[in-house]
Amino acid sequence: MPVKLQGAVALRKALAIVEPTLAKETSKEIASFLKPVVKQARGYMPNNDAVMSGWLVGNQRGKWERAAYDAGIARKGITYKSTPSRVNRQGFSALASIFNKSAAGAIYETAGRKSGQTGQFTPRLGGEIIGDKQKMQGRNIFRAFEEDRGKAQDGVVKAIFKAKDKFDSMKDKV
Amino acid sequence: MADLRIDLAAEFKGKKAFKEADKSVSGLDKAVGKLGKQIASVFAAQKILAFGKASVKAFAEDQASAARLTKTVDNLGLAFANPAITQFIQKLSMQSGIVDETLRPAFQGLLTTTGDVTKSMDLLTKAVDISRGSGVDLATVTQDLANGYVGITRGLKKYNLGLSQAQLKSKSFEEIMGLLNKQFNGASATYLETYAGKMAILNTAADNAKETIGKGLVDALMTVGGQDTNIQSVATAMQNAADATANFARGIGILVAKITNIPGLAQLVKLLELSIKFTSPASLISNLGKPKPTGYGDYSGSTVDYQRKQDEKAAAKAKAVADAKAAALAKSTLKSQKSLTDQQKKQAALKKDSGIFDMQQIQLIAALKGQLSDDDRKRAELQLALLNGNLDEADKLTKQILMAQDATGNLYKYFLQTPDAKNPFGYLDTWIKDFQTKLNALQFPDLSKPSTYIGAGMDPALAALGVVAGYGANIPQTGSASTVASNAVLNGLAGMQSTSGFVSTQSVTGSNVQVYVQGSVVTEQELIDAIQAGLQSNSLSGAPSQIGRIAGMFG
Repeated sequence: MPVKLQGAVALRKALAIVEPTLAKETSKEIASFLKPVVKQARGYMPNNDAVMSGWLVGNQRGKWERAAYDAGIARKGITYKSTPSRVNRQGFSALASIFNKSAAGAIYETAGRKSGQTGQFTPRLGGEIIGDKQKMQGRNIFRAFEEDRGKAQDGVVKAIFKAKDKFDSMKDKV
Repeated sequence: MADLRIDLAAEFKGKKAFKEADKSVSGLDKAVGKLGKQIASVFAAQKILAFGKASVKAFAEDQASAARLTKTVDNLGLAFANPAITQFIQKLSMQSGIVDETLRPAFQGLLTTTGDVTKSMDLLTKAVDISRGSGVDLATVTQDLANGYVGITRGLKKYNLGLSQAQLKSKSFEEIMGLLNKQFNGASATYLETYAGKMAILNTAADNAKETIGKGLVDALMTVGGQDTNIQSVATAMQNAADATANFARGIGILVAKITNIPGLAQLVKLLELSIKFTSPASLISNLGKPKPTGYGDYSGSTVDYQRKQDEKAAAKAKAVADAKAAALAKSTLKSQKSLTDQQKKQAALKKDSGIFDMQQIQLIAALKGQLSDDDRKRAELQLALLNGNLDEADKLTKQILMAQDATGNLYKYFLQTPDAKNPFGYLDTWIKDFQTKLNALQFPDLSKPSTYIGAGMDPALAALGVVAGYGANIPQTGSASTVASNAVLNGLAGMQSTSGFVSTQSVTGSNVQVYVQGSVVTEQELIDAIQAGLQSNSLSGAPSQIGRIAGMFG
């Protein structure tokens, strides 16, 4: 579960308007904590020769064509975002996120986390599903996040608090 | 596809929760509203149903009593008199305020006793008076009268006719009726003059109306339910009718509310209400009921009252004008104050905005954003604080800077003890004030008047000669006395600067002596030449001389 911070979105918005430099610095600092996780997650994405040949791009037709695997696309699909997101249905706005955007990447990430190593596809994917709960289990970003042991999360929170302190001190002075 | 993402930190914005709470409250509100409407409709339907039942019951009782009386009249062979009896009962009911259900049994009792319609009508009319006068109910009175008609006078004792039981027995019915008539005549009319009597008439009218409505309802329900339906189907039809009536009334209410909510129609509705008020029958009756004025306006009609009313009108008009002026003035003042406040706000905002373009501030902020040592940063911040008038921050930064320079804190203490720097031009103010004071104290001589001569300090030797030195213009001249010009002072340098010399006059008795100083030394060179000539002359004459180094010459 993400850490809940109240007022952080407003702080980021205020920074972007009043102190753009500090806002950029904060984003960079948050990114510096997210990048290692992303890099690690990309590393867990298998090369094209390591996946089943029938799943590769060029060998899939029809509705599965868009879900065909390509290591480059799948790796590029793992990204991060260091700015606040839109409010979701539960009323939360994320301050920093790590994504696995590509269809093939998502399949590789999650295949078998509910049904287990069954069938002809999942057991041949390889990798290791790691994570706390089912919704937070996966082979790429969830595994990298789990192995990061909360360093990224702590860093993001610290970066936001640091920005808050800086902003407060500047506000008091001027 | 599921959105694969990890949110490392999030903020609860509460949008969904608030929406849900809002939705829940709205739902509850609607549910309560619906429940209230349903309860109201149930109560309204029950009221209508109860009224309908009461109406039908009244109609049934009335019909039953009428049927009994009609049957009695028929049995007495007086069927021809039925319309007259019905009319009489109805008329007496309206006049006496006694409902026909009460009158019919009373009339029936009298009629069965007397067997005469006219006699019964007369007795019933008198019985009404006796009942109103004695407070005994009509049924008892008519029974007593019926008993008395047949010689049973025991019940008549209660009317306190002043007769003993034996006397009552000895009196004929006509005599007793004469006594009763004498005692209670006009009691009913008097009672009807009271509010209780009027209310009784109204109740009677309402009862009759109820009976009429009940008859109408029964007819209608019979029509709805079918002519040969039983009472259960009639009751069901009544319930449905009541529900329909309640729905109709509620619909009217909703319609009125909707119309009222239409923008612009509210005023129209108000106007309509106003016009309805002015033209409603109740208003007209109320106006008719008002006592008509006998004079001018609402007053008694005297000219004094008229004048008073005119004065009051004029005063009210003047007050209204004054109030309007005061209100306009207050409005104007408020407007100007608002305008002033707005201007001040604008100026403040402008000032604040202009701060953004203050080059000094911009430079300082730019400097602060750059790489600065701690000491320089504090100094820049101090300058910024001073520019912005932030005294607290300025004091704090000053202390920090001074403490940084001298950790012992002595420098800061010395700074605190340092007096304010003096104004280097402060003496000018004092001097100008002093000069101004002296200037003001100067007294200019009045030239139009002769001044008084004040003698100067004189050499006693000259004073002994009678020399009066000074510059006064009004030295007294005594005859042709010689004028002596000169004294030790006047023969000095000042004398040389004047071509004509200073002329001092002295009063000498007997002769006038005039001394003129010839020649002049105007320039410095002439003075040097004169001195040189004097020195050369002295030198040539063997007298000792001095060397003038400056002139470079030997004397």
